[in-house]
Amino acid sequence: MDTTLIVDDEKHCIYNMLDLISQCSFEFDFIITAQSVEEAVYKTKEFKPDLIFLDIHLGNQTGFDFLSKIKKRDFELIFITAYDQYAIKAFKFSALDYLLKPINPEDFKRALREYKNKESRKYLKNKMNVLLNNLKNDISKRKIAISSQEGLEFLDLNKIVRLEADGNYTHIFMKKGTKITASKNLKFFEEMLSDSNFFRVHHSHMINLALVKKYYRGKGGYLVMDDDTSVNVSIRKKEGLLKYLSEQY
Amino acid sequence: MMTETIKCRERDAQYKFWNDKVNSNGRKDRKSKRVFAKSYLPSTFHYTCILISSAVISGTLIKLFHRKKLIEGLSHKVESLRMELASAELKILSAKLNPHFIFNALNSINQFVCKNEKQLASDFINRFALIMRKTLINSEKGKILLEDDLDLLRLYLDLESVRMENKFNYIIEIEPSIEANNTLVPPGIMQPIVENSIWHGLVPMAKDGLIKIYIKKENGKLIYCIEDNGVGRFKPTEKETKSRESRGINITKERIKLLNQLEEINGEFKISDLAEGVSVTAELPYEKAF
Repeated sequence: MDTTLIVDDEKHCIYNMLDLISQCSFEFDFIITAQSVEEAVYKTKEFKPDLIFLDIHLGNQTGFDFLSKIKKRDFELIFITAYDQYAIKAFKFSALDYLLKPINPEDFKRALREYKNKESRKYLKNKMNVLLNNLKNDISKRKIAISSQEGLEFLDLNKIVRLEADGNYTHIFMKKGTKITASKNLKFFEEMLSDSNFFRVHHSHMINLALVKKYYRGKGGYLVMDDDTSVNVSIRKKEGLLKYLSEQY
Repeated sequence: MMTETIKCRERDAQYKFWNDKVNSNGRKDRKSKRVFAKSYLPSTFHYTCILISSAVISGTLIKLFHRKKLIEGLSHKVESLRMELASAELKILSAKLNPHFIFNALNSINQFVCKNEKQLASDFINRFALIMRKTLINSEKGKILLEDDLDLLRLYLDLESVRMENKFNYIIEIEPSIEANNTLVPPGIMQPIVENSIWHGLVPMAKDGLIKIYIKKENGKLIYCIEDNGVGRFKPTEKETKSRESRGINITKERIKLLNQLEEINGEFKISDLAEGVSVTAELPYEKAF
């Protein structure tokens, strides 16, 4: 395997990575390490690695700082974090791969297999752009990477009208009338989007609060969305929904 | 930096949400009003006995004054209940993160390392890390889906089972009318109960152990029944002179009491002795997500 850069501020974590590398069946030709953002930036420019293992916590800086300092990002990236829920969410939004510490050898092998897979490398630049875009912009300008049957699509959050559950799949309805079917269930999206101005109003529906046209009262009532579709509201969610809507307008 | 600000924003939003949720619970008002009226009446009577003429005037004034106080008192009561609940939630977090579970796990890992069983040590550490991660994530939420709570409970039981060299088995049964993916529960209620069963009921026992968990619903209550076939409460081994009730159990009891109080449900926490082993029943408000 080509040139690999391991970035972690703790030496024993680097040793652990080297240990994992020595145990797996892939051959690594050239391995370099860095313990700070500056060192990582320098070595990336100097050695042009093909693969970077990047820890999020780097002294008082982050792996995101490293990424934003590199203009030419033509390397594959695998993030590593111990317990940073915010960072994990950011990886999920951009569909970037990540490993959790302590690193499970099985997960490590899976990540390397993924790296070898040409198909997943196709979207790499887009993924990194989405990550950096999401980090510097507010909720309304964020994007989300959705893997569907056609491949990976990058959607603007403010153009998603609603999401509808369909077993293990979720249909995503866009402002311009298109529909994308994602291979994740609605619970997955609820965890991702509930703090991005989306609200799960029903067991099978989640909506963009910014694209609600009208609410019709009833037992649970129903909503008419921006695209004129109507969505039922579950009785248990009515109160919470009205609270959010009143905050919004 | 960026990370920090967004984190803060999330926290604020969560706090706000929690705040709103509690304040919108209006049912408690009537109950508290009754309590207050009772304590107020004798004092009016007292006044009338001493000064007949001024009693009417002062009585009316006091009544108005008390009514205002009553409203203030009510919001105080809700506020203090909320605070108590929050602090109990925090306690369960620390209870899970500090006592025997962590140190016994570390001890097991140490054992694997000393015996040079690299693979077992690594496997154990990864399972342990997964449990800690899920515990932390769940504990940050007031209520989670029953399926997520059971998922973590199974991971915990499997790890304990590895450590005990498969000395016990467990069965989890859910009444068919309960949808585990649409039922909300406070996180980690069963964990300390099960831990108690394993450590004080099954470990001191020579034969194979069994933990049976049955989840049902009755009159708007969600009921956890947890049984073990261990040594029971009345036959402690020499080392086990202390009561079987751990700190974790006491905190769980406290959480159940507070939760039921908030939802005005008459749920209880019961420990009873079986011919063989102990049975624990915990009753919670039954709440659907949608």
